[in-house]
Amino acid sequence: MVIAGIVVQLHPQDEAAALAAVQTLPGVRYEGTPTPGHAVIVLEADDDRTAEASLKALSEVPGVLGVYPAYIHSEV
Amino acid sequence: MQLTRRNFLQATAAAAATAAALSATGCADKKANPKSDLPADLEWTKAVCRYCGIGCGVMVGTKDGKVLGIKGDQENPVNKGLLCVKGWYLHKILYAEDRLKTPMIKKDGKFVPATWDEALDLVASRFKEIIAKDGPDAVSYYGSGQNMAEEAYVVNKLFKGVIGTNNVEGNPRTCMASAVAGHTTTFGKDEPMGCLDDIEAADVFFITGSNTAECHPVVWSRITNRKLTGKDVKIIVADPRRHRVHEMADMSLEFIPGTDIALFNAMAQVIIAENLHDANFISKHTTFQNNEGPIDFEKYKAFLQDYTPEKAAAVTGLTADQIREAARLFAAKDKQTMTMWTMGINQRVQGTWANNLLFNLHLLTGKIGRPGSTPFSLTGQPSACGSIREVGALSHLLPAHRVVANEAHRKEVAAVWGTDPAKMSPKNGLHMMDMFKGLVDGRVKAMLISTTNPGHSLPNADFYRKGMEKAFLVVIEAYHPTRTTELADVLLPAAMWVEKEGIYGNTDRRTQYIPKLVNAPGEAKSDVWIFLELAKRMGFGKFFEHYTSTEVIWEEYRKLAKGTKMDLAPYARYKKERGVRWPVPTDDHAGTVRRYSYPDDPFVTKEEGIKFYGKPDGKAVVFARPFQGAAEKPDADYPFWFSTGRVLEHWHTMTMTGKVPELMRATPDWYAELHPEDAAKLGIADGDPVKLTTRRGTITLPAKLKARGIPQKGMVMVMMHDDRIDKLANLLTNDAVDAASKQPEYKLCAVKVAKG
Repeated sequence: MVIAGIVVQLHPQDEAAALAAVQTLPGVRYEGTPTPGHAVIVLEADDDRTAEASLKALSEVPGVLGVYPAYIHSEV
Repeated sequence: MQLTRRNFLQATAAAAATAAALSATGCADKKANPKSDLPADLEWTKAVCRYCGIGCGVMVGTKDGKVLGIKGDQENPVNKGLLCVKGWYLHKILYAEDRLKTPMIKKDGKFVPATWDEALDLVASRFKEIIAKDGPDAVSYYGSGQNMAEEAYVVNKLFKGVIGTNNVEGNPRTCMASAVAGHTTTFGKDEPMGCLDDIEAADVFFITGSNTAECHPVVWSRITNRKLTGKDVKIIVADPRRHRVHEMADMSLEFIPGTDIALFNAMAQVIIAENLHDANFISKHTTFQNNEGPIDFEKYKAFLQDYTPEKAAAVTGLTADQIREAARLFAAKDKQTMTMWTMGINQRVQGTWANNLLFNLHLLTGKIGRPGSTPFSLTGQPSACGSIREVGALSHLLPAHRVVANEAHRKEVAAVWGTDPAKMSPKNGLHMMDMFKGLVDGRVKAMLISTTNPGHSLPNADFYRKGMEKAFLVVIEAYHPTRTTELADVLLPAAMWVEKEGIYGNTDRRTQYIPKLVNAPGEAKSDVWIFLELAKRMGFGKFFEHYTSTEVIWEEYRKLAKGTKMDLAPYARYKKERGVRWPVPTDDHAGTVRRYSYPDDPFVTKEEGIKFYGKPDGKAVVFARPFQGAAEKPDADYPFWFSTGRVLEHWHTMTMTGKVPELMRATPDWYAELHPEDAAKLGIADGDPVKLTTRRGTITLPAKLKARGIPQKGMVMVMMHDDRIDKLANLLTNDAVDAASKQPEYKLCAVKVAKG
């Protein structure tokens, strides 16, 4: 089980579209944008491999400037 | 409502990320950091990331002797709760299947397990035999910016103070020696005066020779946040290859490889010609020199006439207007400007001069020593500053920025070490490349290596690997096999990261503590333990027997830092605090945010305002350094530029990140980046094998025409991580070194490109 809290930095010009795309990714739950340009999501996956795929997909969304994990729980 | 464990973890993750987002953007409620919000079934302890030189704080969650959770440490001002993707998987490096768990001795070409007594006695006896027969300079040590400070301190004493050789080097010679030489020549003292806090106060970022977005991602998050939330914040990027920094840049200067020396001089020329310089600052705080000696401002101006924008445009491939515009933006009177650089500047035969010229731009404009205005050298390893530059674990250095050539320095150090100063050699030891060349030609018979992988990371690797194979090679490592352990005679298994305690020093003079949280696997031991055992078995035990803890070692080292303006804090403070930036002139001092300027620096008075006290006259030097170019340039036989770089997911030679399946899968193949127009001319399609040949070797990789980076036309780029023996980028790289820093020119050489 992997549960992660992630800050996703978004380009202001693409913020709405990027945020919409982020929310379509499997295992991603949007928690809010506590400060401009910084969306908070919780990523949940059954295993590391699934989490990894979501993470890669996140970083490839147009308008995503950076993906910064803030908390990771991983049952090793 | 009663939360299930899963609900609780979800809530914790959301809270942590929210708090990190707020904290990273300066909106956090200072009271809100919540160790109490972390899952209570894990024990959470602060530590520092194991990877790059930024020193991000991590909270490490342990249970039943294992690390199970990682969280960005919101209380740590470096990263304010954020991590990069490598940090996500940090705990996995401890549990790799190829952890080295027992000492090994090579017999008949094969490694066989040995006891610690067998291995250490063998190493001690072989080193003693070689020293007795060939003298102390026949043995050597090669360490790392990943060593903890206490480790480097002990081994430095063993070799320089007791054995009597200065053949002590470290891999920071490969990554930041030119920054050391640049700082020392310009300011009289090493290491940055600015700090990470300057990011939030800067209006203009000048980023050159640094793919900050991939190599220092948390710094990049702070830069992008400043760019997006500040008023009219600009980013200038100067790099021969387009990479992720360009996505946010306002101005891109894609100069011809190696010609940045001409660009920086041309920017200085524009700054003076257009009266953008700060004459008052220059008069009070600077002197001028060329390569022969002191000059005056007028002679410096005359020197710059060879670098008018038009003349520099012809050399750099930029336009004169681009150069003028960059200089004007850099020097704008009402703006704070911060310059950042790393390997693209340092790994060059003109690396020291390139550092000098970046400092020139700040000194000419007075954009130094105040919030947001500073040159700021980024470092690649977690403790290259703390454990090598500060401890003095290079062949010309002694602790706290002393040098071996200075008799008074040797006496001061010997007095604290409790050793005979007459035993210490007054001449510099062999620098890194010469030391490894010594293994090839037989001048050096034995080498002890700790926490680094020169069998992969040295330039012109094939030549030096032969020497490593021939010599008596002892490698202290956490993993086996690596491209270095395979060449060794003896392997000593090492504890790593939170399997031992110690001190790291990051890129902005922040000294931080890492606790021991879990046991090392098998029989692996800390490097300090290994060094102390070796000293004892070589007959030098009396010089080391008082080192009963890492704290004792630190407190002795601290005596050597006292009064040097590199003063450090007591060990107990680092255990409690999120690091302290030196100088720390008294035990309870809060630490120094910016050096050389009042009121931050306790050694500068209000009347002085700014004082570069590393120089006897308190003035920094503006250098007239001419453009010369790379040691090896493209020609008819080798018509392309070859350069090396890094990606976000991996770190150095992948001894750690290569053990994380998720990171390996994120980079499923290694490749050669080509410009699409070059590829078309050569009939190369995306994915085709490409044969790359330099005067030192040949490798074949698939071509990539749309990678994360796009090299300019006439340039090929390969990542240095790939550890396959026939694909090492360093089979191609040039081992020519900068005359002052002795740092090799990894970044530039000439290559032939053909469809493979």
